[in-house]
Amino acid sequence: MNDLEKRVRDVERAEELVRCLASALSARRIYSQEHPRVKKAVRTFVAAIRAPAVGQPQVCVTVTGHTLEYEGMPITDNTATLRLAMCLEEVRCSGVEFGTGLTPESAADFLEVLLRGEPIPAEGMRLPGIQLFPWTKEEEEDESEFPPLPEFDVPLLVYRAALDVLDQTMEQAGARNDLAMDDIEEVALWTAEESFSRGAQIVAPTQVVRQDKHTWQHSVNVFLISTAVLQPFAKDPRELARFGQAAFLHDIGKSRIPREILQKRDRLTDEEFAIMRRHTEFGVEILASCPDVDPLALEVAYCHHMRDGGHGYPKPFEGIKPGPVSDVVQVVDMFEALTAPRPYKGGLDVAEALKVILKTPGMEAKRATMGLLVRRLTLAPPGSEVVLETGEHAIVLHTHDDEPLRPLVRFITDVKGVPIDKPFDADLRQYGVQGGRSPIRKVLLKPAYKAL
Amino acid sequence: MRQPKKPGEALLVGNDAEKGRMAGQPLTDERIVRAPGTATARHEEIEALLRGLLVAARMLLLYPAGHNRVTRKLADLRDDFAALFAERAEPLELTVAGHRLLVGDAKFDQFSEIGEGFAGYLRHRHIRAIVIAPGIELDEVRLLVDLLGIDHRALFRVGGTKPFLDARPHPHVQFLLFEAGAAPALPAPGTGTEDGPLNPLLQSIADEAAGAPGMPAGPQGNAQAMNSDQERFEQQLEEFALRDLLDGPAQKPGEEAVAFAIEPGLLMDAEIQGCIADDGAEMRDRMRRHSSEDTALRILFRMLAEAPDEEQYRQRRRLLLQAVRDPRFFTGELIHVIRRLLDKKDWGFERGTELAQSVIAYVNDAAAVTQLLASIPLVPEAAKGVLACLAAREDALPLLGRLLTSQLPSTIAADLPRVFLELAEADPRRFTQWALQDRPTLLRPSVVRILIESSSGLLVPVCERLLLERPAHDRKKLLHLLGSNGSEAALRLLARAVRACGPGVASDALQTLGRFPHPLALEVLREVVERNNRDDLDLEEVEAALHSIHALGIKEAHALLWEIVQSRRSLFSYAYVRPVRVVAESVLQGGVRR
Ligand SMILES: [Fe+2]
Ligand SMILES: [Fe+2]
Repeated sequence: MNDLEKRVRDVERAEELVRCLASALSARRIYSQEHPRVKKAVRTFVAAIRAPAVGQPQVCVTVTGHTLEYEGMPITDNTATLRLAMCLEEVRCSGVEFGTGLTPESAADFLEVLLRGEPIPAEGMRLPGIQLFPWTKEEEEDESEFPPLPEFDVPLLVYRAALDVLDQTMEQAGARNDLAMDDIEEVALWTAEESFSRGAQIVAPTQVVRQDKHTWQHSVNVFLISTAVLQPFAKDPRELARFGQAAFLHDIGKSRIPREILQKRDRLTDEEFAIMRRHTEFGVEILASCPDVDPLALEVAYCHHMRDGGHGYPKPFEGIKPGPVSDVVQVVDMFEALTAPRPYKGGLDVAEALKVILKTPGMEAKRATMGLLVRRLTLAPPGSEVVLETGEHAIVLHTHDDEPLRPLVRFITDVKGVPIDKPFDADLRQYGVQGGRSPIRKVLLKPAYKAL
Repeated sequence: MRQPKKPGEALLVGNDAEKGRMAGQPLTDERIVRAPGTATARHEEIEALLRGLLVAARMLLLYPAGHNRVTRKLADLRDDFAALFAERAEPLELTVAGHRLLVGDAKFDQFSEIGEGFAGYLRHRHIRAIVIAPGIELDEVRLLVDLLGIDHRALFRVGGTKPFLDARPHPHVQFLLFEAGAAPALPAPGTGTEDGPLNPLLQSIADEAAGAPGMPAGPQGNAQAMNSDQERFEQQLEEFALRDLLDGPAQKPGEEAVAFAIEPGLLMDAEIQGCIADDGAEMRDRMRRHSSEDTALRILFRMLAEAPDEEQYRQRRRLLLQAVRDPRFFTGELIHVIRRLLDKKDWGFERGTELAQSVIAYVNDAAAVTQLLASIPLVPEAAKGVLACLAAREDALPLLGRLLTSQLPSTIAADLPRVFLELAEADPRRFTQWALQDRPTLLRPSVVRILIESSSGLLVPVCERLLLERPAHDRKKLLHLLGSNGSEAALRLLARAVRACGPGVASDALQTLGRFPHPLALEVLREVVERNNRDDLDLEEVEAALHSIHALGIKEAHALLWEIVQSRRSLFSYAYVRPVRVVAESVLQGGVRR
């Protein structure tokens, strides 16, 4: 075995370890400490560190800007590892070293430390087989010098994670009828938690990032918007995650539709449309074949094109009626499809889209649901660029719930629109129309996210 | 065109100005009065109209003339005017009074922001009043909108408001202008502060902010009133209505990214207004009532029923059966669905029965299966099928054992013991394992009875284990059941168990044997005595055995006791050791039983 091979082995081992740890953390978020899934995940994690190593038995993982690194090599990131990195950052930990002395108990304790989210002591922290290194002086200073992460950073991360997971999911579902439910659960729960703490902000990326580059972007948008719409109706993030999952998987049946049809630019022929319509059935087939399927996801996959009075498809059948969650997904689904820019057309704007939906036969009774949707749309979403009455340009960092059009912004230009050297933040609530700076004149629908 | 008669008198511009009731009337701020109740209701309509005009003016800035959204909006406005005038025959008078707007004689105070904003626009265009008569036409609406939307500079270029209005016919609308000098003069191009084109609406807002104290300072003024979600939302949209927040038309093909635009008219749209009136109570209510489990179950059955071919049918059947293993799917709906399957009408007898059987057999929870079987009447044939399916399950023994103890319809109950025994006999070791684990089920009288009557000896190893076991609770229960059963089969079973146990068998087992007046019981008890007929005897066992022999009450038993007592005097003396003889003697004399 040459040196390169050895190194590759070591990195693989570290990756395996991180993946196990991340999935243990995900499991722990969803279930109690005693749950068999959590216990199993912890055991797997402990087994991973005890697996024979080529090089050093210890594994030291460092955290750099939401990514985990092993000896300078970034570790493949999925949603779970991304969240692990964010957890480590939250406890102000710059790196962790795992040794063979790790026990299931210490691993479980470590998970609790991460979940609690309180900063570790300045001198670091030591558990059997685990050593947590605190932030260095420089990192502490970085923290105090730079303002905290812009508010839209996290929604954007959620958005990207959801896209990733969905891409995988669709690929898997198309190839072998098998869904990585763990990943989906994870991203749904994350989104739900963010939705509880940030309200409709998680919708912002769907409003601002609209390029049609991902085939499944539609599903992710529907997922995020539905989650935001349903948030007031869920008793806790877990229940909301269930709703979200159902929205996430609503078009899973499309994974079985040939690409030529899915991506066709012209109008579909009748035969093609007949195939397209079968995605509801396909969805049920795919979902029902995974163990522990959520009945709600089945319902949404089947019913999200079913409208009142026998409109839509599949045709109504005794006792099969879309429930409230299906209704929300249906409205959001139409809304998203109408507002989304396509390669061959620009999207409709909100009012037009809503009117189209209202005029759609069989949607007349969905007014209330549409109202819920309208309430969740943000007018100057975080991440958008605004022009102030003074002519200065700024980026919206945080939208206050009570005064959405007086957000927290970061000034990026002067009154003439010339970029300034030192951007600074200000809360527009402190500026009235009269005297001093006045608030927003325009919302530029520029993809401010792209710059991030 | 007429000149004003004297300074301060208004100039009425209009194609049929003589009809104007406004002409010559002094318009002062003192004429502010409260709107009567009926007028208040109409104020809402008027407010909607004013908003509509402002929104349309903004749309003109965003869309090219003739864009169908603009024409649609104008047509809507025309219709709105028509609707307004359908209720009131007299013309609509809008008068600027200071910073306020008067509608007819009444102060437009209900929605002062819109009113004041509107008044601001009119004042900046030197318009003192507008009288709109019934029958207003599309072109006139367009004129109104154009007037609101026109740029200062453009207005100046055409020579001011009057030439602008004169250029287009407007038979149903009259404009009363401020006399020159009575209102601030229009700024000449270039004298404005900024270079570059200025948004006229913004300009007027900016002018207001700079010079006029009457302009509201945005939503802060009434912020305290805005607390609920609904109000906040309205406030949010209202701000949009009064400001220019849109950045251009919808995305063009090939453009990279655009957010979805929220147009300022969103809230003003009555249809959408109607939508957001609901606060989600309906949703909450539906969430409580709706069961996605039921729906999902129906979907699975429907898809099965509609399977296009045999292969799909088989595949979907597998999915359904897999799903019903999930306890969440066990709802009242399942019972309903199975009943329908058994109803020949929908599925045909064979397929329906087969499916019903399988579904029942797949439900993964014993309590649920019991409930299903208890509530669904099955014809004997179907019952047989269901039982066969259940017997094929992984957890068949505990499940069937449990069913044995339940109240079930006779078709199932009749066959159940047979199936259960067959299953047990097929793998006696497994049976023993189950029996020892699930004792509450095993020790039910009905189960023990079936096992005794089967005379299969299945119970022997179980019995044996229980006889040797401490604590004695389960043993006592079993012995009680065997003793009270009293049949020869029960005796045989017990006899085998006692024999299998060997020395140290529990004394209550021997006592139970004493309840069977049968030579076999005597035989077994005698064996126990015989094996203790040594110096190291187990006195307790001997006592129990002898007492039980006595309790048998049969002739042979009595004879045996006598034989033991007398064995000393016999030819072969001391056939029984002394302690045995002593105990036998005391038993015969009715000695105290322990
Ligand atoms: Fe769909
Ligand atoms: Fe969809």
